[in-house]
Amino acid sequence: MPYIDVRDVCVRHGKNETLRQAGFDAERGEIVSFIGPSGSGKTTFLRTLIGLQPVWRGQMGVDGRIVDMAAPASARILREQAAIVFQQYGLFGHMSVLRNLTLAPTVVAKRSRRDAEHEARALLERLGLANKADVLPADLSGGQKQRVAIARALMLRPTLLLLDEPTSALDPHKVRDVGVLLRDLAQDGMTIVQVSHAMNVVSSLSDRIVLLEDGQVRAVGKGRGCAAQLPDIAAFMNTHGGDAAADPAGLRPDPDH
Amino acid sequence: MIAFSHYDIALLFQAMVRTVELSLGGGVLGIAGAIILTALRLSDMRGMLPLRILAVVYVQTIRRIPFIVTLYIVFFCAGMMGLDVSATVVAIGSIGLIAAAYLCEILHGGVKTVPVEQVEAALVLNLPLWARWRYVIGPQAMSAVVPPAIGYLVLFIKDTALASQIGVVELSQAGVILSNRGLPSAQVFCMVLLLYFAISYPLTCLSRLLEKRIAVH
Amino acid sequence: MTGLDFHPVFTRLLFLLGGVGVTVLIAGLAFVFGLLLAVGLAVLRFENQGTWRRLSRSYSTALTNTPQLSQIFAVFYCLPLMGVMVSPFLSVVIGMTLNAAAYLADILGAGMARVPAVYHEVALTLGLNRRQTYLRVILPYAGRTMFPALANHFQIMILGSAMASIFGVEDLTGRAYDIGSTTFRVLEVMLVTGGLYALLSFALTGVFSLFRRTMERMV
Ligand SMILES: Nc1ncnc2c1ncn2[C@@H]1O[C@H](COP(=O)(O)OP(=O)(O)OP(=O)(O)O)[C@@H](O)[C@H]1O
Ligand SMILES: [Mg+2]
Repeated sequence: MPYIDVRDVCVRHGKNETLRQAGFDAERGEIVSFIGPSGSGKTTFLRTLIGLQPVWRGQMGVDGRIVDMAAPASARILREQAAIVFQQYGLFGHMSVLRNLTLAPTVVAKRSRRDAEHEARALLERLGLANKADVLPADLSGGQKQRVAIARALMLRPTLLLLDEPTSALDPHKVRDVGVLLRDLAQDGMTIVQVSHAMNVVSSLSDRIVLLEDGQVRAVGKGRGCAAQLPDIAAFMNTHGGDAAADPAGLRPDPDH
Repeated sequence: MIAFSHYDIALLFQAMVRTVELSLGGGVLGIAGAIILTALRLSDMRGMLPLRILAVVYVQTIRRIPFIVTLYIVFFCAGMMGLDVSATVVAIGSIGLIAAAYLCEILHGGVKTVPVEQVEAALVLNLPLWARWRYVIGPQAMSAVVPPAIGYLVLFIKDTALASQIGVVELSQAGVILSNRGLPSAQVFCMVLLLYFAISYPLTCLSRLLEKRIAVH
Repeated sequence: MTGLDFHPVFTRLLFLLGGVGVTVLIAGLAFVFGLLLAVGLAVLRFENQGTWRRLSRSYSTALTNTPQLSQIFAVFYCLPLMGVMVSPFLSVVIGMTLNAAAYLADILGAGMARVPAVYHEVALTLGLNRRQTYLRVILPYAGRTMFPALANHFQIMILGSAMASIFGVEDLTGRAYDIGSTTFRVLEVMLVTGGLYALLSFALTGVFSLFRRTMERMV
């Protein structure tokens, strides 16, 4: 049984069916990418996975445990497993970077402040933000904000990490850095689901690609290099500024960096 | 309600007219004063510098003095100078003095929101002073001026109740008189509050509406 | 026109200055209690759709569209009718608290509406409950954006507290009136009083901007 197994998710906005029987699955440590035209329901689908979007129907298996996504209690269960990085990051502007990271561990998980700060500093160090701990989010660059947002999510120790367009606000150089980071996290066993418009990232990074169209899953590609194999996905990617057959080597660190 | 006689109603009505008079008169004086003060503050002629400073000091200081204190000062000043004016005129004058300062602050702030490039663009088009104000600065400043100005006037309508302290029979004073005549004070009180509400609320709505309109643009 | 004679006022300056403390006390108490009430009103407005929200809104609408003077009068006359005997000082503080709550709830409500919507969702996904979300995220964030409006309203309350004199409270204006009626130098004492209010207000402006700057540096 796959680690994540989402089935039959239906979302309605009034009369509109924003998602129709959408589903996908993923093994532990895989990177899944949602792609599709604007308005196809990618963000909505991602939000259902952490109980931010009420669903009409749907079920989600996590590690063999089945959750009825339409049940009111599902949100709490989903959030025990998952963390999300919002497209606009949503860093709390009135708190230092460090406090953004330690807020949930201290007030929700009731861990000691020292312990949480220790972990947070280590995490910031790993993401190359060691000197930014006491800075306010407003004083960070876009790429730094995003890494802080990822760090804050990681502080929840999720097994499932969700990201909505993590690379949309970054320059190509930073895009690759994020790719490397996500790959690292996946290698440590974290399952990652991202929405992305950057097709070269998608093709070089994804273990699975889910093509959404008009609220439905049009195609699912599995395995590295799957982008080039499925005609639907390849066609979409080629028309959206990406190369379906992009070399995963694009992720290799820049020699002159 | 039956307890109110014809005379009581007449008194209330007159008092309400007086309250409107105070607000309107003070408002008009205030607008006139504010335009003069703002013109002084914006003038860049060298000889005007002392007047500019005076205008700023006036605006900054008078807004920090309670209405009731200003009212007493104007009232006793008029008395000392031997001016034979009614309490109503004193109250309208005081309101005008204060409103001028507040409205000047709003007007000045509004003009400052117009981007410098706009003014410069008007200058390089060789528009004369009046045309710069009429077509470029005025319309753009308006959106930042009108809603807060109305909002301020609404605030002030309620402060006119303090004019009762120098003997103006305005709405709140009429309430006191009526309840001294032996009318049920709770009813009188509610009546007075309702009348204030009836004057103030439509203006509050207008100010909000304009604010929203402008926010949309 | 007879000349101004400030001498009788200056001999009583200490007494007058004592009134500054009373003025600040009245405005301060009403502000603090008003703010507490306002937090409740604003959260009520923000969290609910139906009756509660409408009630909270109506409270602000009613009290911001009628004179504070009349509201204090209502407290002054109604509490004794209900069998509660309170001093004029307390009546004024209660009246001003109720009035302040109405305005402050509007300020808080507007400030909370400006908190980015995503903060609510972030708080949810971080596992914060409602209370934690408000206490840790919404109110502190909104508090910074609202600080100028709150400080401004406190200044308005300092000015408004002059109404206390009408009820016989010995605040700055009340003491000024006392001095005026014993020395018959009303104009002089009122001029000095006006100056004291202006000084107090300038001082408060300074304190607020200092407070703001240290706050910003602290985090
Ligand atoms: N709260 C809402 N109310 C009504 N309709 C909504 C709501 N949220 C989303 N929708 C609709 O659902 C559809 C999918 O939206 P969604 O944001 O998931 O698209 P997306 O694939 O993420 O698009 P994009 O690439 O532009 O971010 C859209 O047609 C949108 O109009
Ligand atoms: Mg989206």
